[in-house]
Amino acid sequence: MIVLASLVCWGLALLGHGLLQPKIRRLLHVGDGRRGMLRVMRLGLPLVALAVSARLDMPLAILVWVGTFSVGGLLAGGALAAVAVYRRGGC
Amino acid sequence: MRDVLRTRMGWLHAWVGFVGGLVLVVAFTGGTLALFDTEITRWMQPELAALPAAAMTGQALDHAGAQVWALREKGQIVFLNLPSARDPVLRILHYDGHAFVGPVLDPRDGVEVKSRATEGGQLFFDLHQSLYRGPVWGNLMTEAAGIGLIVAVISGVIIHWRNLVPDLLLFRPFAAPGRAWLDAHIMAGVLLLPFVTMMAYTGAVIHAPRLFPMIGAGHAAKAASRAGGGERRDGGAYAPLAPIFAQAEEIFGRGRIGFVMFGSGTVSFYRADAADFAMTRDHADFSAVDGKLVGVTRVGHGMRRLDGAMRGLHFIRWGTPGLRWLYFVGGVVGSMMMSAGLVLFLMKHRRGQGGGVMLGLAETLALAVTLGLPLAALGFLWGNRLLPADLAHRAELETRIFFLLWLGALVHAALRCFRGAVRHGWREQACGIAVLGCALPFLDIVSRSGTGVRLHWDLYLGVDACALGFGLLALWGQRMMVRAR
Amino acid sequence: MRMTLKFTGKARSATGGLWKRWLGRFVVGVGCAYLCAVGFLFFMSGSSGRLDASLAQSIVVGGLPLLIVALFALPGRGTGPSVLAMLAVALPHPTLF
Repeated sequence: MIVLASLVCWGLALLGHGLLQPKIRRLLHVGDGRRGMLRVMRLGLPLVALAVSARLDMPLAILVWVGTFSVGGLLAGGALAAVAVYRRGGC
Repeated sequence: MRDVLRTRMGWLHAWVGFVGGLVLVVAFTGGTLALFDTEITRWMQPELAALPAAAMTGQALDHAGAQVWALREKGQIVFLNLPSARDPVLRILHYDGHAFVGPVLDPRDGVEVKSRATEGGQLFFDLHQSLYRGPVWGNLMTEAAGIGLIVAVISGVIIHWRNLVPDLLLFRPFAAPGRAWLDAHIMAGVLLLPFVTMMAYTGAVIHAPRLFPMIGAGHAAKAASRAGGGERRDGGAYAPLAPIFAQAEEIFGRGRIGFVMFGSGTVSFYRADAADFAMTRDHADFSAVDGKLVGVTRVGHGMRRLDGAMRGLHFIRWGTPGLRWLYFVGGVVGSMMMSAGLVLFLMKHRRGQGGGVMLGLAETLALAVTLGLPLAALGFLWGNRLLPADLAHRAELETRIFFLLWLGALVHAALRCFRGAVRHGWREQACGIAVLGCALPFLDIVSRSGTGVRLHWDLYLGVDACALGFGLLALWGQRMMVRAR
Repeated sequence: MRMTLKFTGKARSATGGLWKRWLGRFVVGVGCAYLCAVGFLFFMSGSSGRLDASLAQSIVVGGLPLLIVALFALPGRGTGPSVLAMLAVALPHPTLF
């Protein structure tokens, strides 16, 4: 459960990070709105993930936090790519 | 081409990455599967599915101990692996040069359970750590490849430094093939940077004595010093193991004993690797005659635990299932990232030229390690279920099937690549993976029907679902190749 | 101009020259880095305030790839700096045996 919660936090944080990048915004045809919220997500959610992971024993907590960064990033990247493909197909 | 830092690092990354990558894809794929080596071994011994989960009894331990002493008196070097959450049976194991194999005992009474002989998941462990080439040259190759991986990581970070953070999630599958592969390689590489670096570093530290044989004695010396077995003790009965086991549990804690080694006149109870983050192999030695405690060996705190911590980080035998799955996903994506690197290298060198022996060879090897290895791994599982359970030398035959399939994939790759039909080669091997992977769950259900389909279903579901997942991925990949023509 | 396994014309000689120079630099760099690592390990095992073997190996395994990349990245055509680095670290230590 902790792994899943940390994964969701990292996934959303990295999704926010991706949506803040001009190249990705252009690919997704996204406007300039909601940057503040995305910045908060990018900064805050990794800390939430850390707090959640810290409930585990020490070496495990760090490994879970770092591991969920990688997997969460892959999921977020995959989601952004899927949306980009969909938007491209729809254009 | 200008001789500047970025182009230099590009050269270093490409060539070290490609040459080392051919070994690293094998090591990474093998290591990823070896994360679940115990579970794969159990999957490959379906007779154990009929065995209900039960705690080990003192009677079983005493019976197992008597069998081990009898084998030792015949000159065999064996030890006793105790039941654990991952493998709830007793095993009398010996090292066959590549894997720890041996009979399985019922944890309730210590009576041998008839199960097929197999190297099981340990084949992948040996492939990971030494490419099945033994502890000297094999370890040396994987060690050098591990150092090469760190070199490739550092040079890759330098090349990509400016865009490391902004392009972290940039993946454009609809872009030109070269760009799409590069995006995938970079995205997976950067996201897995902590995992890949940690695994390469800890793996390289674990086998550092291979690279610096003049400094450390290495595993061979350790094994030799530990072995000392097989000799006959003069007369007298041995103390039963159950009371000694209780003493050992008082020292290390309940459920924290992993295996028992038998020396000349002593019995050593080793703390389980799963008991602690640092894999230190603490043990308590007892007299084999009267069961009295002879001594306790514990690795202290501080720097002395560093080696154990490196092993603990790399092998994660102490980890929870969730962490093991995280490592597994990291390993799978890491292997794909390296494979994408191999493909990128080939794409770059394929442009503007019609072929050549070196390019054909490079493409053959890349295809054989990228798709040929998973194909052979699935074939290994198929061979396990299709070969008769009581066949003589069946463990060797299974291993031969694995290597013959891999050799077949290499020959097939060579035939396709040297005849200019590279894409066909990739598609055909992907099709092979798709067929073997997607059909494996059916084979499992059919070949396990007489044993007990409902018991330990999670283990079988895990292996079957992974095989099916890889099969579907390969099917999707080959369809993409058809569309991209 | 691209780096390929098969070259044609002028590009072949220019890129091939650079390729050979980089290959030579890489081989020498790896050799030097390895000797530096061995020198460090001998020094650590022979010095009075000796480091734990595991710690020394951990440092060496971390330092070796960094040194290989650093030697490869050093500016200039020659291999002088790397040879100097090798001599500086590795040569004094055989005397410790």
